[in-house]
Amino acid sequence: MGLLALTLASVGSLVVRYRRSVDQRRAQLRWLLLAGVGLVAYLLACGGEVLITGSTGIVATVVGVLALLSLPLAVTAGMLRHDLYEVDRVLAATITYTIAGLVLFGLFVATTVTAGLALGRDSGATAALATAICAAALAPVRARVQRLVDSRFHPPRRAVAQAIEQLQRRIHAGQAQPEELQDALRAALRDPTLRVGIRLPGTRALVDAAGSSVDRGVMVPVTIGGEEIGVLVTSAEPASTVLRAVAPMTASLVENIRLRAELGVALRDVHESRARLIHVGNAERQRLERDLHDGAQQRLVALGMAMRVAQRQLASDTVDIDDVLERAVIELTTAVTELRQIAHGLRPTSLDDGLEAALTALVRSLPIPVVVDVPVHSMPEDLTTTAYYVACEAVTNAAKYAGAGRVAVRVDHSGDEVRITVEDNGRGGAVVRPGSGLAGLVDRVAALGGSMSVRSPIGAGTVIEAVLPCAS
Amino acid sequence: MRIVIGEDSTLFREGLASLLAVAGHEVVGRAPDAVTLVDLTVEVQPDLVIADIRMPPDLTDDGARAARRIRELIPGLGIVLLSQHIEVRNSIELVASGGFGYLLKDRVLEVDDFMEVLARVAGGGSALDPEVVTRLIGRTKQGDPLDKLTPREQEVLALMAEGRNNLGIARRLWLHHRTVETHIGAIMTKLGLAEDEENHRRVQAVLTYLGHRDNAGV
Repeated sequence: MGLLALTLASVGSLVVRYRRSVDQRRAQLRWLLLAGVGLVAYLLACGGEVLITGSTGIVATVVGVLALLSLPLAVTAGMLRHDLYEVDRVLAATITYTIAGLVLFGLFVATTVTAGLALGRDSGATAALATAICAAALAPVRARVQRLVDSRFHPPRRAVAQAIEQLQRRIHAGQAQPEELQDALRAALRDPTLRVGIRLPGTRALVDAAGSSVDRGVMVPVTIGGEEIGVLVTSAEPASTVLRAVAPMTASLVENIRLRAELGVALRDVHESRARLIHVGNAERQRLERDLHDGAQQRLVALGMAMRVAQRQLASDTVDIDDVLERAVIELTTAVTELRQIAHGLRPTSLDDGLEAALTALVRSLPIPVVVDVPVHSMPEDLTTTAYYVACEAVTNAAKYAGAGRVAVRVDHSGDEVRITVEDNGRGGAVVRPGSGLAGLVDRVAALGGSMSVRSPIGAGTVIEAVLPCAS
Repeated sequence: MRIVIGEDSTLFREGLASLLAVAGHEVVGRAPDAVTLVDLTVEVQPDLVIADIRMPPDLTDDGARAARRIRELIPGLGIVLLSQHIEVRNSIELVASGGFGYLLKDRVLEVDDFMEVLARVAGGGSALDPEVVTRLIGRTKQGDPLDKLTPREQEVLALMAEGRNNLGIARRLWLHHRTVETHIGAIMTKLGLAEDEENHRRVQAVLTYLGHRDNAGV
């Protein structure tokens, strides 16, 4: 009697301590609780064995030893590794199976007694019937008990908090990636249909970490500062209440996944753009090589040959030396012009006098009026050249294809950016097609860290605007 | 000589034609593309063909392909290929087979040298642009057998690779032709090549040696 009182008193004191303590202490005490549950399991095992075999035997002994060992083990774990949140899971599982065992045991006894009264003692059929009923009841009883126990010892909020904390710790240690959030949530909430969708910046589409679209099921938004960054999705309606409760906890990881995905997309864009620039560069070099070989070089060799012919005929006095020289100078002039044009294609020499002068010279050769509004002061070479090409391509497009009657080129250099705007009143409908001049410009601008936009509604003119970052 | 010209640039084609005419040759055909060149050559059966390597229809190495075709149709007909720029690999292959010349277009302006090349190729000899030879010999590596040659022998080797015969080498270097023969003997021994009296087989050996030196990793 004294022992029972003492036991109850200790349990009572533990309960009081548990209620008064906070997270860490509670986790330690829960390890003790695990050992306490072991004691109950021991009593249960003894009772069961006595009932079935008539006396305590091997089963009770084994469970007893385990229960005895569990106390020092639990205390050690509680002292050293109380941060292991897994204790909740183990505890919940132990309690679940203990209670389920108790219920089934009661069911077995009740069935045996009832059937015994009805069919007579020691009937083989009685034991068989009781066993069958217990077997049939096992799964539903376990599930129901688990839900009850979970809601007390391993509630969804805490399960998710623990799963997220553990995942973050593993990410920190380099053992996991943020993208494993979905698996962690599925395990913690025991919901295999759960999915984590992220909303990539700049798009409305929802995708999962693998990139496939997330579009069906009950969606619970995950937000940061009022902005929806992703969703938790489940196909089970009742689970959505739980998801709504845990969604805020997942926000930082979802944001992490989203940023990583965004970075991946940006990197891919950069790689593609770099490959295109190299390709364009190679094609350009090839064109130049051909222009030089078939143009100026050919012309100069031909000129040399003409001079040789004249030289050989000089002695025979049949050659009009004045005519030969005249034609030679004409050929030379043409060759020089060709060379200049090729060099101009590399980098417009008019840029030496500044962007304003170059653009003014450019528009003078066009058949339509172009208004140029460009600051006179100088900008870094890269910016000037890129700004020139943007203006050049846009203005040429306006004159050639858009049928524009009027074009305005404006360059604003304010603070840390240069904005180039080319506006025409042509027929619009311009699009950035892969491989087109405009696509080349987009890459050129992106290579300097800038961005370019094309607004060209059909029938309402075109506005091409490029913004380039400028350090000065 | 009766000569056919394959060249798409009118300017160059007509310039070359008048240069050849002044030098006493007869231009019996002018083809602006590779297909016409083959047909025309077969039709007029000239003593020599001069062709630009880059010609229509593909504007790549159409001239070289036409040359191979002509070689199949009329074996022994000398062909001089002209190029705007140097391409080592293809050129050695062609020139090593004899009766072929490969020159930069500008060489045309060295009229006497150019005419000599035409005569040599028409006679079954070879001619390789000095620029190509310089590149071939210039690719010296550690432990290259060419290092064992004296500077004079290197000069002789270069002229040999260009396709010149003993007399031509002797004249160019202001040497007695007996001295040239001695140098050539030394070169062939140092490089481990079989000596051959016939000029074009010797050129072939030298070019094959130079061309494969890189690949063999000597």
